[in-house]
Amino acid sequence: MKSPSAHLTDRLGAILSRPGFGILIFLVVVSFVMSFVSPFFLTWLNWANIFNQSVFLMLLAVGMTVVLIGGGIDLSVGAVAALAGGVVGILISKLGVPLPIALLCGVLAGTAMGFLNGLIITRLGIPDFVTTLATLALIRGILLVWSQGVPIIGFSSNSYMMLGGLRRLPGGLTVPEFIVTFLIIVGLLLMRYSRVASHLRATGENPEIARLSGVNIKRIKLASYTLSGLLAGVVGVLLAGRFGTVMPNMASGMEIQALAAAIIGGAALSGGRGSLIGATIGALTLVVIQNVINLSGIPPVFETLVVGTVILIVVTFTRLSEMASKRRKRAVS
Amino acid sequence: MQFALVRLLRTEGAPISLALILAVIAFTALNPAFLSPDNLAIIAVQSIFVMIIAIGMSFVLTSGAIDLSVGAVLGLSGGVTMFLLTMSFPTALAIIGGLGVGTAFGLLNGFLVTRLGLSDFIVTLATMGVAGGLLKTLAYIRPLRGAETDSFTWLSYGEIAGIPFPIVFGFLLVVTCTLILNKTVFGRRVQASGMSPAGAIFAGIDVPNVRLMVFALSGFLAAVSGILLAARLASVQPALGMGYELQAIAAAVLGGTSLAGGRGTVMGTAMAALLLATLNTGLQIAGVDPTWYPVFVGSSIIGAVAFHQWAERYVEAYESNALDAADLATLPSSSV
Repeated sequence: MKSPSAHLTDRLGAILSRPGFGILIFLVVVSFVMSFVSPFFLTWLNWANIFNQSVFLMLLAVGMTVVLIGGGIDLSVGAVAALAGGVVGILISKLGVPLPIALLCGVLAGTAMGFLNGLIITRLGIPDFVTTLATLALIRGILLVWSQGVPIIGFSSNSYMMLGGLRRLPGGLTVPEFIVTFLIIVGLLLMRYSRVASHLRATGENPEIARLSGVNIKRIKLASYTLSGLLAGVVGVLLAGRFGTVMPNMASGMEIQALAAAIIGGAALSGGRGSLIGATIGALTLVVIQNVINLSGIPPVFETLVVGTVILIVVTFTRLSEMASKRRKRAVS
Repeated sequence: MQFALVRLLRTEGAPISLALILAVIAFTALNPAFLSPDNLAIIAVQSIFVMIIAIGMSFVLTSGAIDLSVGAVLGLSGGVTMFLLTMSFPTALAIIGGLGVGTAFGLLNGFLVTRLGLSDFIVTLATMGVAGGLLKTLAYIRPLRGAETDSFTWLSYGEIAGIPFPIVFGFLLVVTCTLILNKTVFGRRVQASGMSPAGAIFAGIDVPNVRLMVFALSGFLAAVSGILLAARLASVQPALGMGYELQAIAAAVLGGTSLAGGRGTVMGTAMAALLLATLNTGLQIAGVDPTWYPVFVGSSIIGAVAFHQWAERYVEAYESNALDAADLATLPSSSV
């Protein structure tokens, strides 16, 4: 019979080993310390800013997590987002297309790129990493040629600014926050209750066994990349509204941040593992780190150094606590 | 005919060399000035920097891992060397300092990946940020330029028997690394670790140790490349080396190294690095808008990988046919 204290540590261990929990503690500690460094940090205005800045990364990280769970990786999301934004910008400024139709076309362009990634990966059998790296270069190149290196402008309007979160609703909230929250809740429900989600996990865990159990792994992977393209498309059209211009290098490097957020949040590159909530918290953490750097007067040159170091510390810490809990389990049994 | 094709496909680096020759012929047809020795020498020197880190990348990929930090480590090592030079350290010490920093980063990557069991992707992504951030910090402390000594400049502009030193160096490095990967026990262990880690462990290979050494080698080669590049540019910008890791991966994959591990070729990687530099210069000489360059590189990567997969299937099909034929020939006629 177990002693009550052992029971308690078991429970505690179960909570601690939840993906994203370690990073949540990190967030709380950082917030606590920062409230002494800058009185502005714990104000509603600052956090409204942080949320408004992090929604795009959250959505990309959620899409990345879905792809990672399926055993793939999508490095093209930043470029796909830029493409979607570019499509909207050009349709409105050059062709005078009404906003809703342009938005739809932008999201569709993103979805189509995701579908294309999935087709190349599943039908031609080219590795995920290579395919999406190549489409990343391809899309950026197309955008550069298309825009001739000049930002696309002249498509912004009041309603588009509202949609992109440049204008705030009463209370400091913004439209993208609601859109992203809605999408993440839908994603959570799907991951929890749908059969597709368990097929996705099975595919990432062990494609061969999943195939033998009757899962159409090619179609699952194709769907995961299409979803990632769709979410990147949504991010792209919202970003275009936020900035009011589309640079050819818009959202460049966001694929790496999204990947980092997903992995900090408990996703594994080996597939089968990942948490949407973890990815959301991971994205929030990256934005909070940037905010902390801005507020505490650290020169911006240190930003990459701090972000890199924090990621290293977080993954090392998570790993060490995993190893410790395994050792404890072995000691109990 | 079929036999000749299979021989060609099985020869290490042969398909990519063929692509390189075709590209050179095409660019010469567009503009005969392309084939001038000066131009070819410039292309070769330009390709060296990516070639060196791509060779390190080939070892890492062959061992079944990936190293995203090479670009940033390249920049940081060049930056450290330049920094030491501006503090009027002797050239040799400055170079040793740069090499030491690069190797240290390689060892750190290897340690975190093999000893703590962290994902190689996330570890090298993070050290990429750390190394890139350190370089920015160095450049923030003082401008990294204007202190090169004659011997330092010689590293990139000197000539041995009329051949630029970087080309001589690159040639020797390719030969040495080809021998290491294909002819030494260490090279075999690298290949075995990537092909089947579990199998390699059963065969008594210390896979973590092999990977640790491979990461250290990758960091060291990134430092070598960074120091040569710093000597070439005579200054180190805060963003030096950004994006080089992707070019290195592209070169390795184009050359025939597998991202899944176990299969790698130094010769193919070197040829692919040459091809990328040739495309870059050739497209400029042919008057193509440089904004098209990433489109060409992106499509050529997909094309190259599709080609490799086709070639593998073709060779396998040919070999299994040949085996069947041999089986039939050896069987007694009554049983056929």
